[in-house]
Amino acid sequence: MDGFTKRETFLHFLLTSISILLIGSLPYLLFNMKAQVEVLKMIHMKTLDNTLFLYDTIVFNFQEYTLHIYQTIKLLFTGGDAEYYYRGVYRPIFPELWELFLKSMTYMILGLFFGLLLALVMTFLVMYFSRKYRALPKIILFFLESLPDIFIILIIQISIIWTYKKTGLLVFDITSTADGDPVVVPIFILSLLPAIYMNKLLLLAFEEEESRQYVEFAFSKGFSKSYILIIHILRNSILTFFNHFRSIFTFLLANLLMLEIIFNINGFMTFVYKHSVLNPEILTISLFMVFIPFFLIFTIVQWTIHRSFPSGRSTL
Amino acid sequence: MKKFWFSNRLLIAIGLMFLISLLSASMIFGFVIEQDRTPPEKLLFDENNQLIAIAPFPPSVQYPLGSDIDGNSFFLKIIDGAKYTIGLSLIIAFGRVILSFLGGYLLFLMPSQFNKRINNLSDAFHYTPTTILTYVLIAPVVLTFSWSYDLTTKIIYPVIILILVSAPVLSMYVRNELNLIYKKDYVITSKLMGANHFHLYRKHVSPFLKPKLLLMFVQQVGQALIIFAHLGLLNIFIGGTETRLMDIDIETGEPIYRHFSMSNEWSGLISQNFEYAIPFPWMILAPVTAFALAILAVNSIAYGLKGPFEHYQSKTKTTTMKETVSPVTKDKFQMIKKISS
Repeated sequence: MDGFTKRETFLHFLLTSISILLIGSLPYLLFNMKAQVEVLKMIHMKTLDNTLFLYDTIVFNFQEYTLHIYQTIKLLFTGGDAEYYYRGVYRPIFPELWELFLKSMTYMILGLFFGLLLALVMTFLVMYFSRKYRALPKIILFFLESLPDIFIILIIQISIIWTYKKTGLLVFDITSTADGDPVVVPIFILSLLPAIYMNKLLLLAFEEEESRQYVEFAFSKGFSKSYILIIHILRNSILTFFNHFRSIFTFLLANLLMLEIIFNINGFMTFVYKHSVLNPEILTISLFMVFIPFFLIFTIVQWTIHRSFPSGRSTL
Repeated sequence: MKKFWFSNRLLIAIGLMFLISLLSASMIFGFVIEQDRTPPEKLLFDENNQLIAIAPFPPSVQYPLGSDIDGNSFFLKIIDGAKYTIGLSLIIAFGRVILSFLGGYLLFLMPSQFNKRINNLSDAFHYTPTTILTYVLIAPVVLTFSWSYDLTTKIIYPVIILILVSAPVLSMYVRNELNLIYKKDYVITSKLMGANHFHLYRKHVSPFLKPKLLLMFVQQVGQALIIFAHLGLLNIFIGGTETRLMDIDIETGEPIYRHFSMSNEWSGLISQNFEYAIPFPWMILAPVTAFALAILAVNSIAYGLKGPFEHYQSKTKTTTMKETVSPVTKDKFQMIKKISS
């Protein structure tokens, strides 16, 4: 149980933060960032056209690395006036990144919510089959799970365009325009992709519970299958399921990036993608923006789950 | 029991056959077809010499996956590119397994308190999508500052980064597996009987670890393929990016560069054709479908190796004991004490 004490949680938070700092400044370790950015600025200002004479190798710049980590820490604590370089001009990071963050997180949380619902419905449907007949739905799930996310996103996008071409009916917006961002399809995709993954995890947990004795006992007492599924199995599977929740989260973040690129949404992940090469501190800042709220949520959920499962089948 | 082996082996066989045939077709293509290929046709005529289509052609019998802007068949391009993409993902997966085995063993030798902290440190990777991390580390060499690095660096460096990025998480995984195995009763018994470290590893640990590492290898091939597909969408392709000046923007005077893959490597095909996704959807669907099929094949091998039916089968398996009835006759008995009469 000691993984859930306050000291342990604090250490966890601290170490993960350190690791984020270490990751975020890595470009300064491996490249001569300052020199390279200078060259890029010269190219943007058109004082340099010929780059053939320039040559550089991968380096290990520990001094620059530690210096940049120190600067990033200072930036994080002073906040506010951080700037990023893009095509010859410096712009302030902050109101912009914050708005994009809220937009993308709305997509993500709605997607996660509907995805969870979808996964639960699918799992219940599969569980209503008897064990013998579960092979076919499982094979379909395996197939869907194996397809890469960009394949599924592109297929959905192209099929919407195709129906538009055939019938002249644009069912949903599929790309960002001046009117705004598409809403329905991205949320649908962001719920579909993790739903397949969550469904797999839930199904594993459900089947594990199903073979336990108390379930057999409940059946023998004559409770209906729906009652047992909802009251007994679902409650006991939540713990196992939650242990995998972080990987679902990582999965969803990767999906979000691909979705924003394919649907041309100007979101949080695309901002990180576009600017963090030249400004590695954007990577660090955005990682913290994702890490802090979700770490809090995870910790709170973990504590409440542990309070409601005091018997401690928590060694999973 | 026989049936379960059959279905799992079947999955492995299908996956392997697909990958091997794809790879060998790709190898043969490089040697045979490439040499006597005529320059592609940009215009397509029917038998009356009537113009029926201009490149890019949509999928048809002649062009199973459609064609690109120059009229090259996508099917052939994908066959040609398979050896680079799949070959690189095999190299990366192999590197990851070797590295994470060494890392995992090293972590295993460390005290558990240390490992807990390492675990906390590596938790940061749960909040960092691998695609973004690899992009930030690879893009400077391949895209942003591409002028200052030579070709060898551009090819080897991304592969090393792709191997290193997943090392922390995978090492933790190997370490946990090792911990589980070393806690088994027979290992402890063997240790108590005086087995040394090497003997323990060779006789008791490696038989359990090897299948896990094999499974990890197959899964990592799939992961590497997914990362390739993602990076392709982000304009990075391994195996060299060539940046060419295409056009100059009339309004702003900014030069427009486009990045070309030097081979028909699949992620390169994705990134080159992404801008045609809406007018000519097959141009992007072709390489993405190739990725999807390859990943499907890899995953079916992994699924077969994992044996998900095993769990199910062992639950329902009923062991029937054959009752052997042997007639009991009088001469089977013997008096212990012979009564002399």
